[in-house]
Amino acid sequence: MQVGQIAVNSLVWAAELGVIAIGMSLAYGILGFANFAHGEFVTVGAYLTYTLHIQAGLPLLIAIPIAMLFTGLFAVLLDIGVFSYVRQASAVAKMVLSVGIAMIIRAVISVLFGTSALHLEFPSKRFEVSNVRFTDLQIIIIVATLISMVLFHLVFQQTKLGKALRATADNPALAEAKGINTTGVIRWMWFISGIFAALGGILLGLETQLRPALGLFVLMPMFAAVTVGGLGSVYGAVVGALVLALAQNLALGIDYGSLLGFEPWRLRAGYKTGIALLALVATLLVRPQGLFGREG
Amino acid sequence: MKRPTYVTLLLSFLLIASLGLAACQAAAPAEEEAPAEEEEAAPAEEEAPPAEEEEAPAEEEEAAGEPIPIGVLSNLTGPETNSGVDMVRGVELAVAELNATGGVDGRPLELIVEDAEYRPQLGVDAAHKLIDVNQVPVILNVGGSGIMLPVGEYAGTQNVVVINTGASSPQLRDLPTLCSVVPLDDIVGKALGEWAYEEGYTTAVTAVPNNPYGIGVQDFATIGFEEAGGEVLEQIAYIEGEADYRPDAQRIADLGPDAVLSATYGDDANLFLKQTIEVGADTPWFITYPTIINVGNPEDANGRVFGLEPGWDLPEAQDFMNNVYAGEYGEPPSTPWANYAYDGMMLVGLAMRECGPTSDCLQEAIPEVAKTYDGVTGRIEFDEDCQRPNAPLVRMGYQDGELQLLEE
Repeated sequence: MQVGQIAVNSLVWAAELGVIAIGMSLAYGILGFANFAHGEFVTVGAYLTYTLHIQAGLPLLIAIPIAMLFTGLFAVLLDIGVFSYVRQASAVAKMVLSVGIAMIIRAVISVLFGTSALHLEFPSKRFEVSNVRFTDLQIIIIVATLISMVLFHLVFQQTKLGKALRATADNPALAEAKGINTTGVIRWMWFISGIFAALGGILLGLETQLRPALGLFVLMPMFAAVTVGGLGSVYGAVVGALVLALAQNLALGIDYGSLLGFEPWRLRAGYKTGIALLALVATLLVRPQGLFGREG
Repeated sequence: MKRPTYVTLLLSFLLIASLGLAACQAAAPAEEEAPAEEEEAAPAEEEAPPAEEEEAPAEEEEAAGEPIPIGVLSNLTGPETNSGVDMVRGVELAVAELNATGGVDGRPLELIVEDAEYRPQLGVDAAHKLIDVNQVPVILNVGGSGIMLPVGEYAGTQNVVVINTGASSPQLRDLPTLCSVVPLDDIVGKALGEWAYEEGYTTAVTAVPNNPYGIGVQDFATIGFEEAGGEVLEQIAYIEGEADYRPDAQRIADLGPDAVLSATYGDDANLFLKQTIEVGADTPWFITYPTIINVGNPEDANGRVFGLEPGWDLPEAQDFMNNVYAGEYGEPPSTPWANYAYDGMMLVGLAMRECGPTSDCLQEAIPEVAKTYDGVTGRIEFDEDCQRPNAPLVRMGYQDGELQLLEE
C-alpha cells in the first residue's frame, strides 16, 4: 500500500473516529469517568437516520440533523434518568453502570431492527489520482467532520456555554461557586456528546453498514484515541484519532518481512483493533496524561 | 471531583475490553442480547399438513399415537437467515409426508426447532436442551460448521445421531455420529479452486470468514487451485460481523490477484464486495454457495461474482422447489438448501421405519435406506465416514443483475 493511500485511508478513519471521540473526551473531562454508553450514541444516531431516511422516506439531508438532534436529546434523557442519580459514585462504579446501559441500548436496537445488517443507501463514485483511490463519500466525510469540528471550536471557545463547559471541566466546585449552573452545563455536555457521536455513527453507517454492534466496533479505537490524545482534552481527542488512524493503517500496510530481508509478511487486517488496544495500553504506561492532557 | 488513578483506569479498561472482545469473538456476527423469536421467525414445529396426492404411498393412514421427537437446530436469526428458514421448511415438508404415510410404527414425528442465531454457544445450549430435556434420538442440524462441530461432538458422546444438511467443514468427518447429505469442503472447495484456474486465472487470494467453514474452504480451494497450476498469493481470514472490511479489501487491492476464492456469506459478503470495488480491486470472486451471499447492488456483481452450489438443477429438485415447496409456502425457496434438508429428514424417517425410533441403529440404517431412496437432490451415497461424496455441483454467476446457472 503506498503512502498516499495510507494517508487517505487514515484521514477518513480519523474523521469518523475524531468526531465520535470529541464527545467522549468532553464527557470524561466533565464527568470524570469513561462512559461506555457513548459508543451506543453512535449506533442510535445511525439507526435513527435509517428510520427517518429509509423507513419514513425523508431526504438524507433532513434525516441526518433530525437524527443528531434526537440522539442528543436521548443522551440528555439518559443523564436525567440514570447518571444524575450517581454523580457522587466512584468513577469505576459509573463506568460499570455505563457498560450495563450500553448493553441495554444494544439489545433494544436488536429487538427493534433485528440483527441483520441494514444500509443507508448512498451510491458513491470512485476516483483515482496518482494511484490513490477514494470515493466522493469519503470526501464528504472529511469535509463534514472538518465543518463540525470548526463549529465545535467556535462554540467551545467563543460562547458563554463553551466557557462554562471549560470551567466545569477544570474545577466543577469553583465553577458552581462562580455561579455557573453546573447541572445545566452537564446536560449541555451530554447533548453535545450525543450529537457528535450520532454524526460519527451516521458517517460510518453511510460508508459501511448498520449493525447493532456498531458502537462496540468503535469502542476500543475511540477509547484509544481519547487516551492517546489526553483524557479530558477535546482537541487532544481529535489529534489522538489522527495518530491512531495513521498508526493502524501504517501498521497494517508495512511489509515487515521485506523490511527485515525476509519473505514479504504483513500484519493481518484483523489486528486493527488490537493495534488500538496496544496504543491505549502503551500510552497509559508511558505517558498516562496522553499528548495534551494534564498530569495528575 | 476525584479522578481514578491511571493504574485503576488501565486495569478497568483491560478487564472490560477483554470481556467485550471475548463476547464479540464468541458470538461472531450476532452478539446482541435479544433472544430469537422462534415462533415468528421459524416456520416452527409440528403440524401434519395433508399428504401430497402425487406421492404413491402404500399406507394412506395418518400417524397417530405418542409423537417421536425430532430435533432441528437452525439459524433463524443472524447475518443470513434465508437458508435456515428454507431448511426448516424442507424438514417440515418431509415430516408432513412421513406422517401422512403412517409415521414410524404408526407414531407421528414431531419437530422441536431451536434457533442457534449463528452463535456456537447457543447452538450447544440448544443441543443440550434437545438431547437432555427433549430426549430426541436425532438432530437435523441446518446450521454452519462453527455450530455443527461442537453440537456434533456433544451428540456423539450421547450417542445421538446428527444429520448435517448445511455445514461443510472437513472436520465433520471426525464426528462419530454425524452423517452429511451435503458435500464437504474437501469436495466443494477443491472444485472451486480448480474452476478458477480453468477460467484462466493463475493467481488468487483466498478471503474467508475466520471460522471452521471458512478455513475449510480456504484450505481446499488453495489445494484445488495450486494443484491445477495456480498460485495463491495470500490467505485472508477475516473476522465476521465487522462494520468495516476496508483493510482486508485494501490488502486484496495491493496484492492484485487475478481472482478471489471465497467462502463469504450474508451481510459480510455485501460489505466486503462493495468495499473491494471502492478500493479498486475489481477482480472476479469465486464463492462457495453463492445463494447465501447478500449482494446490495446486483449490478456490481455482474460478470464478477461466480460460485458453486450443490445441484438444484435436477428435475426432481426443480419439481420439489416449484411445486411441493411453493405449494405449501406460496413461493419457491430462495436457496437450494431446502432440498437437502428434505432428503435428510426423509432418510431419517425411512431409517426409523427400518430399525425403530431410537438412535441405536440409525447411523447404520441411514446409508442402507439411502441405497433405495431417490432423493430430490439425486441418489445419495455415503462413504465410510457417513459423508456424501457424490452431490452434484452446479456453476452459477451473476448476469443481468441476478444469480443464474452457467452453461458448462
